[in-house]
Amino acid sequence: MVADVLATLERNPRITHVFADVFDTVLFRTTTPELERTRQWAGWAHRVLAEGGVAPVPSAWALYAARVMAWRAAYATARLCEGCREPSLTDIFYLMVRALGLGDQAIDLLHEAEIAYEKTQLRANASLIAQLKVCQQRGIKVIFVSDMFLGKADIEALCQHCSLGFKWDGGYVSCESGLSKRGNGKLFEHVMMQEGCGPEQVLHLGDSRHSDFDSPRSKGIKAIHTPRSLAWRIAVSMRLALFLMRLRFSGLEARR
Amino acid sequence: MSEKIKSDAARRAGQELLGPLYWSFCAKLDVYQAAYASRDASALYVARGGLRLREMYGVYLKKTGRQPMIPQHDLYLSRLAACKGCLARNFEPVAPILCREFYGASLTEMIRAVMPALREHSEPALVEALPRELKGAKADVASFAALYHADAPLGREMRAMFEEQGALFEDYMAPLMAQENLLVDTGWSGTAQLMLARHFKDRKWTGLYVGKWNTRGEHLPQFPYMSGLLVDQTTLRYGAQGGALFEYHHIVESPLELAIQSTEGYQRDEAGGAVPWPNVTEDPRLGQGDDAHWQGVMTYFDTVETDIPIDEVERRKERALRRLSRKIRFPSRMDIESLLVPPRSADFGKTLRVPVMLEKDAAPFSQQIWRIRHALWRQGQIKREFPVLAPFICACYTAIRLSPRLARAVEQLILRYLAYAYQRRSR
Repeated sequence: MVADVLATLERNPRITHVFADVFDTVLFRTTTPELERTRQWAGWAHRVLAEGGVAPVPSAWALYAARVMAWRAAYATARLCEGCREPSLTDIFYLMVRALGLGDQAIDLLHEAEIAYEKTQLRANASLIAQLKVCQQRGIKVIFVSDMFLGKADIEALCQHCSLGFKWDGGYVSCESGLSKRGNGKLFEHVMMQEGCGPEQVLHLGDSRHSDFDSPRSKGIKAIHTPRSLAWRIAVSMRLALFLMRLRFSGLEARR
Repeated sequence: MSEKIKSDAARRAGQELLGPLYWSFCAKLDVYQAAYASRDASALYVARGGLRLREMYGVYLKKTGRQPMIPQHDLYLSRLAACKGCLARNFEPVAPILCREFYGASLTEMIRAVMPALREHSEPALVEALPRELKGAKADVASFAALYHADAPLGREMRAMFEEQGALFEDYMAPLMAQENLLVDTGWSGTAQLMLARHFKDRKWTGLYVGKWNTRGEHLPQFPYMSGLLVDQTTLRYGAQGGALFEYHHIVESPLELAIQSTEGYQRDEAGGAVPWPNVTEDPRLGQGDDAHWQGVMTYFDTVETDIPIDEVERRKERALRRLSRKIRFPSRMDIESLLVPPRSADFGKTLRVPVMLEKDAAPFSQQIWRIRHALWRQGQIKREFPVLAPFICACYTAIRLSPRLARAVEQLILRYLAYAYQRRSR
């Protein structure tokens, strides 16, 4: 869906800040579902660890299983901040190397593999970016707000790789603030406080019905829901079903 | 079937089915604890189940050449001990939990279980000591609250006991607690964790359990702070991982249960410190319990390869879980022998022993239905009562349970049938 950001701005002249979700909003992912991406990433990580001199290198399936386990553990045990638990990628990798019995030096290599892999999975949402550029030309601040375990610098690097053609005026991620958009939406309050603006001055865009539409609206923020196309969602669901089947055949837990 | 064959079958089930599950549990426990490595945290293994989990985790660490990431302690605690320790300061939330433990019992039975000093009193003497309006009362929150607040000798004695237990409990907990406390236990709904969180509000309480569930949709404020490392569900789903364990959770619980008495409260030792009562730390039965299954689990732990990769740990767990689920839902005669756990004991010194399955006899059809309804492992009882039709009946049972409304309707029908059969027999 193409968001009509400019028309909304014209109807609401008080808006001074546009907040945008990043993944599947500004940067489009392929139709590979998250679990399968984790498996593909594990293949990359296997190569990166081998090249980095880690021995013995865990198999791709071992890296996959360890990441799933570490991901669940990290989200269950991250420090509670205003009712949110938001671990960072480093937290997840720290637990992963413990599960695999690797040394801490593997964390940097795993991180390298993560960024390298993500770069292959993303492309810019040209129509939305064109509108965001116009917003900036009109003096409106364009800021990314993401519930993500990747840090701000990583997200900026991914944006740069995808040649957005504009520079963000700021960025906030859940893993750095410890607050999230989903649930109680405390991340929006945090960003507004940092940027010194009120909810009536903000327009938020994002693909998640709950985190990017219902949650900001409950804070009095104007929001535009920009879901991915139905065809894309069907393709993801079908690929997920196939991947879960593959997991089952491989003898691993087939659970989202 | 001879006892030797039964015991061997149980040991093999422990090794092949439960061993991989608990090895995976230990791998996860290690990862979860690692998350607290840089924090002021400690792992508290809650007796009785937690003690054996700690033993298993110790073997896991030794075999994988690791060290625990946070301090480890045994915690002698039961729901009763937690209730006694927390009630004086948190009467409103704790009293219903305490009374739920005595559902269906009389107030005097409850008093006897809660106050060991009164156990020697005869029933008439105890009834005599009750305020007039509470004589013959059931153990519910209203009658318990009335007695607790009564300006009568028994009420005063009760208040003094709870206050003393509160002070002892705090003394006992003080050296064990860190800022963040990870309770390691079998599960399932974290009642003791809730009481600890309410009592020690300045500390954080997290539960790392074998399983957690809330299929009845109860209000459980502690639920977000609990992790079920093997089973983590709020609803019953057929295909869900470990779903069959809902239907016979005793199979994962029983091997962890030691034969020692459950902690009933706390007392002062000679040095003036607080220790659990009864103090079972020196009990020779500390290593005993459901031994056949436990020995099987430990055989697995002793023989498993040390360099087993994490994906293989998970594969073995999945394989074992699928086999176990099939055996729970559609048991064969041999499965009944290998998975049957010893009679369950009710908590805190109650002498009541509850068998998991009831013996089949020549009683009429209604008695067979009654036994199935009262068995802790219903599919096992179905197989015992209807050996030929069991697969079909078990399939129907599983299908019905997937729909809570249908399950309730069928339950009502069965109750009506049992009432009708009972009336007909009494005529």
